[in-house]
Amino acid sequence: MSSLQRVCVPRLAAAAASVLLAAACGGIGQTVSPSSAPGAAPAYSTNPNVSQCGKADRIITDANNFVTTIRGVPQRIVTVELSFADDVSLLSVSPVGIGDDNDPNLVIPQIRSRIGPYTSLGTRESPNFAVIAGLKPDLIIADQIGNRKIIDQLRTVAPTLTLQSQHTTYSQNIDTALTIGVALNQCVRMQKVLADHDATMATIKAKVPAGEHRSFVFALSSDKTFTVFNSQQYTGTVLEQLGLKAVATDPSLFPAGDASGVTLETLVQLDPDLIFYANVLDTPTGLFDTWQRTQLFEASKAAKTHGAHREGQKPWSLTRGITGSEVIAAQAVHDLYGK
Amino acid sequence: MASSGSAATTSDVLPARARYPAGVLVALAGTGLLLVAAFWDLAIGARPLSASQVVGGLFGHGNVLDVEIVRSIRLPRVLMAAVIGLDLAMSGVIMQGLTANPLAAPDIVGVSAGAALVVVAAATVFAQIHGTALVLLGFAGAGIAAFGVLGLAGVGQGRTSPVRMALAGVTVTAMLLAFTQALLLLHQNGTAGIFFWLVGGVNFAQWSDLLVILPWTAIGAAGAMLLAVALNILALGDDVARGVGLNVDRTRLLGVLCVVCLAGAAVAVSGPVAFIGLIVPHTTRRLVGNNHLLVIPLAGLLGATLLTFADVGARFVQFPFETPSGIVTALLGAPFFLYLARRHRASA
Amino acid sequence: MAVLAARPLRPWVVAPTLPVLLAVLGGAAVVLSIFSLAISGAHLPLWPALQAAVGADNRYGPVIRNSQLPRVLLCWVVGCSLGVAGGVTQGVIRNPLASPDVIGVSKGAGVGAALLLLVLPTAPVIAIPIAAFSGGLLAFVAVYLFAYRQGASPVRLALTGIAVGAICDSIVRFLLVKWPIDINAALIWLVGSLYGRTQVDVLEVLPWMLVLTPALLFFAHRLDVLGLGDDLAIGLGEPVERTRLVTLLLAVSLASAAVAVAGAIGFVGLVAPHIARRLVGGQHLRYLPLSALVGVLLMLIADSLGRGIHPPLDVPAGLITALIGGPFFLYLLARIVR
Repeated sequence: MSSLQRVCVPRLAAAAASVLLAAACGGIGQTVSPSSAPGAAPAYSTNPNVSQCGKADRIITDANNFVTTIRGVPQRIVTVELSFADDVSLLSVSPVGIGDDNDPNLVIPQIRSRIGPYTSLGTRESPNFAVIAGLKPDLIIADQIGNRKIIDQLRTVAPTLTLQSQHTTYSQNIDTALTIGVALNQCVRMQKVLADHDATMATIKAKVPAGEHRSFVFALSSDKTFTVFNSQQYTGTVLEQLGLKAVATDPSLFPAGDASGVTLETLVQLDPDLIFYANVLDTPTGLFDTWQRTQLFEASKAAKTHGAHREGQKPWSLTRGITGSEVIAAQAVHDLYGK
Repeated sequence: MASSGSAATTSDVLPARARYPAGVLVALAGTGLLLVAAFWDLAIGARPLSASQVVGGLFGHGNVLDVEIVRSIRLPRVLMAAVIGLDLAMSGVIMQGLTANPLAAPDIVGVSAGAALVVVAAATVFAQIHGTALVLLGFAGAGIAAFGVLGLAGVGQGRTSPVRMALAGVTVTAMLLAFTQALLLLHQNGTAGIFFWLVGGVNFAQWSDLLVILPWTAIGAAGAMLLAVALNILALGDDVARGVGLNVDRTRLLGVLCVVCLAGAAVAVSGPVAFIGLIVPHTTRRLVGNNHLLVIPLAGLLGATLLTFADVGARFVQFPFETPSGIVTALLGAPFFLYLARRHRASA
Repeated sequence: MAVLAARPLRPWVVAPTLPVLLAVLGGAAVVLSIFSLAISGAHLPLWPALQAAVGADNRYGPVIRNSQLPRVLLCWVVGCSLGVAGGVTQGVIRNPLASPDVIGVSKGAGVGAALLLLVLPTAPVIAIPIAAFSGGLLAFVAVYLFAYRQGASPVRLALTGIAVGAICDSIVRFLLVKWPIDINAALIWLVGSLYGRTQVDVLEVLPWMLVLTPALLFFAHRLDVLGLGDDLAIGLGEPVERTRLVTLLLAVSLASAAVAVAGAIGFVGLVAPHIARRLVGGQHLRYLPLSALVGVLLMLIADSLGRGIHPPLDVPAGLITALIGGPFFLYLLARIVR
């Protein structure tokens, strides 16, 4: 019952199984053409999983350094977080189960349009194990932190990868997408997706005037509080791709979470050029909406340049993922330059 | 003096034990401390302001922005700290007076938890309820919890044992807290700001919030003062009180209404700030005796002072980002509770 | 406060004897367990589920083995532990409103769990019960030491327990505010839930129950003596202070172990002993086993409802025990006052 045993045994078993299988299967079952060799993606070569590209049995190290062997091409995939559903669906695979907090509207339309009928797993925090098992998945992708208490259970049903979604950055998310590509044995396709994504981001960025380096904050506004996300949080790192600069660049000022409460005084003192905010539950008004009518706010840079933009909570704060980043970037460019 | 904290015995709560000279001293010292705390709280903020700038800002002199920061952000916050502290402290005094029970306080009896549950439900399930409507909902939650626990703990049917009331309160609080936490869990995407509020604090107070709470504070405080004499008589025991012609049941009803008004409104606006209703009344009674005419206003003053200092303390936790001021009172108050519990020598 | 005295049933009801009651409640628990196996967010027919539970390898095997069966077993272990620990706590504190949560155990365990969940979010999941168990025991030790003044009187134990519980609450709040990285996990733990529990958790808590429950039953007679009041008990030659400490320590360890795997599930330890006492009276050897069974039934009902009430959501069992136990507790309170 020791932790050592619990952690190591599956890993050893997985390694042993993969060795045996590799010996047994040889080169049979190569489903991907040789052009998908690892060397094809030098840009992403820091991801060690890329070396497994194209193999029938791919040994993947996940965010918890847990080693999982995935055989063949997974068809029935369960994604506990929305960003994983996003990345998987970009490979023309529709997840059979998604953690959507029991609310189909949580999946933004841009992703929803690529996904067929799926089964809700309940909350992303506590996905229903019986539902997942009933879906007979051949791959489960769960969040590294939020789902850790159920990971041992999930592994009894199907190979399970724990990857970063809830606490991730833009570049980590690209890396995660790459791992998902390897897991689905679609390295080439994922590299194409990422190349398309780079092109999309480049197109969006082309609309950004040269020399754009305005500072911004991204925040959630509720009736009672205003919380600013730190510069290491996903949305902020996406906006930095456009050349914008996150204002709260000192994460040490933040507690261990992603966001911290900030009063109007502090906000004005930070004085970002741009404020992107979402109202919790997308309610018509929140604390920040009332702040915007104050004299103090009107003297701030953001107010003078009409730099406060209200965004939707779902795409900006809950989705993440490749498509999620494109939606955020496109919306930001639309808000900033009307393009 | 020996056991003024445990009001469980009649001799403790004789109205004769009012110490007016001490009262004057406490009033002066309390006011002084409140002013110090208020000024300190006014002087802290992301924008560095000198003392003279703060004073100037209060009176409308100086840089327009400084004036605006002092007047529209820092001042309402400081005032809110004072008002909430006053509300919670006064409601604690009344509750202890009504129940002749040293452990009665809005957070221990479940009043805060009742109001908090209703407010969380309003924020997560119904999303758009604020201002006075939210306060009225808070009254409903606080009222149900207060009447429930006090009634069930046997208030009005002879003296209640402090143990029973504390146990009843703790258990009802646990139940209400379980419901609150379940609401938070089942509405995860709507809880971003709620958790902060649930710890309690005045960090985001605005003038509009003050306008919402001030009428209820005025009503509650006035009611408390009007009840002071009746509470003094009630302290002699129900039988004696009836003997001198006090309508005991009506006094209790009005008292609980005052508590609901004060604590319910405070929780609805600022969240369940912990332990002020326990610490302050005890300290006040130790200082000035048991005459409610003296204890109620002075407890209000000291409560205001305490929460204002707590708000100052909360600013240092992760400056310039916000920490709910309720954290400070919770960490201060819990050991005090332990001290009270240890002092308890009755063998119920 | 002679509230622990037997409360006779209405005269026209033939009082069932203890063996009959044990058989009836035990049978009910077994039947409920069987049905509970098949209650989940997904389609799970009863018969194949049962077959899988006894070892047949069918398509429902993984769910039954890794989730349904461990959860049902945990309901038994946790319910029994909390029922017995609650009964003993009420007996020692001589107060019908006491329970392990009241003397600080659940709250202390909450601090341990929150420390791990929030401050060390990458720590292995297995460490959480260990931290929670230590937290619960530490809280009790603190309660006992603070309450000790020429002996730890029951009243002071109760009040100190509440106060130490309040301190623990404050610490948890502080942790939640300062390290808000995984608030939801901490909240679920604080409500109490069997979500995600596996056979590992069962094996972790089972030894405690198997050892401590008989140990406490062994003390049953001395608990009866303790119930007579300190003076009388001392007169009867009972080492009151020592018995109190030993039995409380055993009960607290039992409750801590249960809470460590299931989270701070409330009201089971409070309500189960009451129901048991109403059925068979206040003699510990008679009502403690019954209290254990009632605890099991409560847990089974709560966890089954939690799984079945609104799938695919897994409603925490602790919410349902609060929903059932809370009003029942209020009713009790009203009766006691009368």
